[in-house]
Amino acid sequence: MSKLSEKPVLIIGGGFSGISAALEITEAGNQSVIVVEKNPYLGGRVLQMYKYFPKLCPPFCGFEINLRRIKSGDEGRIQFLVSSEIEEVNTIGSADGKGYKVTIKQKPQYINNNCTICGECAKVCTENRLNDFNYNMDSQKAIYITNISAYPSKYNIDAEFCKFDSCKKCESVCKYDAINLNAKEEIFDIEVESIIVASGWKPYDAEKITNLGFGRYKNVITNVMMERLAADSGPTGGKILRPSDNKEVTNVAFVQCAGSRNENHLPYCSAICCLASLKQSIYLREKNPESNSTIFYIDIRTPGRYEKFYNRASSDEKTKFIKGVVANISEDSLSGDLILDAEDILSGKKIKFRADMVVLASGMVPNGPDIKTGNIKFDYDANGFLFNQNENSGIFSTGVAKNPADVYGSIQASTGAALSVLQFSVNNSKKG
Amino acid sequence: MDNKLGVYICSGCDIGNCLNIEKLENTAKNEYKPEICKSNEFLCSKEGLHIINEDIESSGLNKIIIAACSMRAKQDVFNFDLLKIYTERVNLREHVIWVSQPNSESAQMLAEDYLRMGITKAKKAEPTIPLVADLNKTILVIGGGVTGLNAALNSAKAGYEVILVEKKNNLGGFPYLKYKKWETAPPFENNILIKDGLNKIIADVENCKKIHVYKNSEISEISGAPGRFEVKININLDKNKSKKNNIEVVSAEPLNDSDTKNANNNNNGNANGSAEVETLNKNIVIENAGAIITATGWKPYNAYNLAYLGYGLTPDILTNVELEELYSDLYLKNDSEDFTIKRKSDGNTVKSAVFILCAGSRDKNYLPYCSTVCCMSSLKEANLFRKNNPDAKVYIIYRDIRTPGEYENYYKSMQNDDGIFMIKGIVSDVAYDDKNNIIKLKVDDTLFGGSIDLNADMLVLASGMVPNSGDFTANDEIAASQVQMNLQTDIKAASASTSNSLNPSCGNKEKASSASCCENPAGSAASVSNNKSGLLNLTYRQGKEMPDLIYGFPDSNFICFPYESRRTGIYPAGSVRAPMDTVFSVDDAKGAALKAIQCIEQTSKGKAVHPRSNDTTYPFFDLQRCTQCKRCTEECPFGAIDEDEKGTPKPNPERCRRCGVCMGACPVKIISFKNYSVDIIGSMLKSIYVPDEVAKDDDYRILVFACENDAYPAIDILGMNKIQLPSNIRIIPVRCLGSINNVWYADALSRGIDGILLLGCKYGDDYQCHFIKGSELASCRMENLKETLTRLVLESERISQVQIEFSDYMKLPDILNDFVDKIKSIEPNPYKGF
Repeated sequence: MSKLSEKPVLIIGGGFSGISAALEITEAGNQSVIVVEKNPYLGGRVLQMYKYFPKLCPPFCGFEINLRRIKSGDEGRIQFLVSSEIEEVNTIGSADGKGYKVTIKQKPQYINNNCTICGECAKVCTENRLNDFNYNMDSQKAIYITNISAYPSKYNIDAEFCKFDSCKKCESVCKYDAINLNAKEEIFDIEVESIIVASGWKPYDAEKITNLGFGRYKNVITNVMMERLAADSGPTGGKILRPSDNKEVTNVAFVQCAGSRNENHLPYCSAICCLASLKQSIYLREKNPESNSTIFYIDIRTPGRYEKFYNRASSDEKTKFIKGVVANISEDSLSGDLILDAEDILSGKKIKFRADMVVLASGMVPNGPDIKTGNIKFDYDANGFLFNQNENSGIFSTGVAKNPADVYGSIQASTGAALSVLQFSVNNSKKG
Repeated sequence: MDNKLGVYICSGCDIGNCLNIEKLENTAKNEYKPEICKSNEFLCSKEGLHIINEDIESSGLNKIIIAACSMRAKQDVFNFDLLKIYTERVNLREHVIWVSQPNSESAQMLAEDYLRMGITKAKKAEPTIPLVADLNKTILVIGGGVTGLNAALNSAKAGYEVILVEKKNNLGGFPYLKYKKWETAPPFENNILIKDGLNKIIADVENCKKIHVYKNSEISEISGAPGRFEVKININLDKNKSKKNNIEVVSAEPLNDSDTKNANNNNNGNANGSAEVETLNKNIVIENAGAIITATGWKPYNAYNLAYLGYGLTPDILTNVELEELYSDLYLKNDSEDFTIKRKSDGNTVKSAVFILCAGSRDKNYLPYCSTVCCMSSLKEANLFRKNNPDAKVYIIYRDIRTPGEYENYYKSMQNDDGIFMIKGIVSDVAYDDKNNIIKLKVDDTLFGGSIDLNADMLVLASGMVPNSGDFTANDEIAASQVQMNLQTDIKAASASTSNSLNPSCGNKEKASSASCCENPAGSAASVSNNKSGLLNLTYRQGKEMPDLIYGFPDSNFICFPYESRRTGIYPAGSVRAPMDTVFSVDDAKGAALKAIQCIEQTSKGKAVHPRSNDTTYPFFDLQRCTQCKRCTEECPFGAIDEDEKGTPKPNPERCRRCGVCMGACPVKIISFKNYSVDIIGSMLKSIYVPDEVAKDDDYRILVFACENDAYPAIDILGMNKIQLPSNIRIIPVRCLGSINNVWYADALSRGIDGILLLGCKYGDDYQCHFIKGSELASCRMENLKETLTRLVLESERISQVQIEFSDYMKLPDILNDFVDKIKSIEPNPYKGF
């Protein structure tokens, strides 16, 4: 409809929200899009999820569809800059609508697109790195493939662990001239018409909730780590084993609002943790029918038709719900088990509860405020979310950068943000 | 088109070390006589690609077969002119060498079979020419509430013409003339007057040249497809006459309506667009549209069902909607925010009010779902109560307070009010003491163990939202369960009455028609929507309204794709799609507008919309051979195919999502895509070499049909992990298991293939099939076929279906090994060697 914009749209973040926005834009309008992603791969946080609620379906299924959309779409309309971060964002000129000059820093691209993922390099690599995709619960070679649906489909080198010139084994074994250990960091400017902030979230640092013992007790894990424990591609091959002794867990406590709805930590509700814990409880029980699940909660928040999911989880006789705040967690150092001190509000009693693993439903912290900007300011609210969108400035937001949301809500917002971009472009071309 | 085949075999990535490439080349050369057959040790390199491009140039190749890695890898490299060249990928890496013993005879045979299948497919398949058309790009928005207004305005801002149809004589929907709402952006701590924002957007819509508004109007019929919908709008003239101030917007004789003409003439120069406004009779107007947004909103749950909570006992027991109306009446009457809330019964000031949350919601006997907005609405209403009647005590009885995200701020700010009492509990009794005019409640207080008694002047029931998705009401338990029962009987009856033939081409007309798999193949959709009417009134074969997902909401079933409706080009938005408040309805309207625009733009380029976005193929129907069995029109998951009186299908390529379910359904094989047809896949599987005798375990042959979005990539991942698979399997990717035609089983079994395994998506309540019921249909059709197998003295265990998810790839080795073992435990297929 609108004529081809001269300047592309910048999308900050190549997670599911960012990719969706990019696809919705390019399949509806004529704009081209540049997606800047911090990780060496696309897909963001959701690829680390084992299954989605409420269907218990794998994130890779929808991601595969989106990869097909990318691969089959108009050539070159979406450009991905992985391992890249924004250094600066400045307005071009003084008036709205002239666009932005954006400085981007891309880490050295040691592996080029010649890579066929044949895997010969990893066979000869002698160094190991902690696997951050698995939240450091296992390790992998310093030259590694990031995940089972890695896109761009190539290996990656962790510069922190690679021995470079003193080793070069990978370079010499690669038949496809795909490795260049002398690659350098690149800093360059692009000019864009509008910006979608899709920078997503990180888990709240659970170590800050000192009374719950994360970081001190091995068997206190966070909800995102639980997802990796359950995944076939995770550190335990999909068996839910607790970190201290690799014992299959049979008695798991889920602690809701771990740091959320709490003035000392996150004052807001992350909107997804109830559903995430219900999901984890369901798959724990499915994977190990002998297991017990106990969920400590303040309010169970399963809005809309998610109520059905709550009913599914709560109809299981080995899943118990205790309304109450967990005040403290201590460890029985002999067994590695954990003792939870909690108030069971419904009975009015203080209880001690023993679990062999505790999963903290720690909330989501928006990444937005970490983005470096120059002479402009993104209009974050008190919690770092970018909910307010200024139609005149051409800066929009989606996903958890915008507000705490699940995947469904994030993609809803991405689709809306895509329209904002189209509108902005139409309006600009009228002016121009 | 004359076939000019170019076969390119890559020996890189260890392929050359694990297979005999020369033998592979000879297989291709001897059996298929290609124009060119070459091997290269780095085919995806610039040099490799250069060789192919030169051959295309010099030898005029029009079919390229790349025998290398998975079709999911290096697509950007092996990307030739789509209009002129058909490219087929043969997966020698992930599906052969990475899952087989290197240099074994069985790996070589596997590779040769895949090469044969690939070349056979390329010989039969053709490049596709997209169906480019100049289509109508107007967007029809049904419903003039918050969602509809925003959808209309946002579509117009993006440059599209809009027709907005509203049933009532005013725009604004539910919030129109209502009092206050919570603020629309963080921190979500304050209330704001609704009219300020709403009046502005109503004015914006009414003043927008691109938007034509029909008030007092309803849709009497929609026919057509994306880009060419014909919409009959029924304008209620009586209402217009009685409300004179609206006449200027809705003209009784639209032919003279210059606005409409102008609007339509501007429509991208499309002279045949919606300019044709006819007057069939005085009050029916015909408009044309490219895509549709349904924003028909919600209605309050019928409070008379809530007699157990005292509704109806006294006028002081009211619903939250009635309280909102009371607030707005008081505000309008007083023309001030300074008003006192008085009892309807005696006019006395309310001193104590009780709000019951989840009144009938989250209850399987009433509304099984959570309406999402009642917690916030009730907190807001309580907040206003306290502001206007500062001496009143307000009790809020709740199960869980649901204020997700930063709405928590609102809840928190309320908790500081010492006149508001939050009680977690269940109301066990509501009585009305008419002598003293007091409402008495008993609450089983779950926090303190015992129950408490409350006396109140006013009781407010947060009674929940029901979608306006058609006249059939999903909250009507009896009707809903009836539908469920009918459905189950339908499916049972359908499978019971099904007699399928191993060779469906010989099936006569009656047989074919009785063999239809499910009467209502798209699950509840067809039957439920057939029970509905009144909103869209589609002339579609599968019913007048949007199929529901659940509880009457025509929502998407797909977490990653929230707008995936079951009717192409028609997108529900706002609270008709899922329970949501106005803040999120505004966003939802934008999303739906984008999808509507996208559908029109993609369709005009001849491209499919989700989930096969950008696919330019579409099914051809060879109608001369059609037996009018109606299976395709019944089984299309998207209701894309209509039919004439005789039952001959009337395909609508713009409504098609390219899954091929119709192709799988057709007993006489008349439905084909240029690169995907019964003949193409049939020929592929016939090209598999089947040893005449089973001398050793490796000689068994198992055919696997794998969903190309989940099961096929899962096998790729197994390859990446170098996990060995049985050497007997031959995998054919399919668009959807629903596209599997029963004739393929016959083709395979008659060639001596020992077993057939289907790997596809999960079906049932939480179905994962992106074509809704494709995998379920496949299983249904296969069950029917098993009876036929038994009659042919072939064991029914020879065919089987397994539901598999992408990331459960580690289950696949066992699944495949178990199936192969099961087949080995049966006699080899007796048809071998015939």
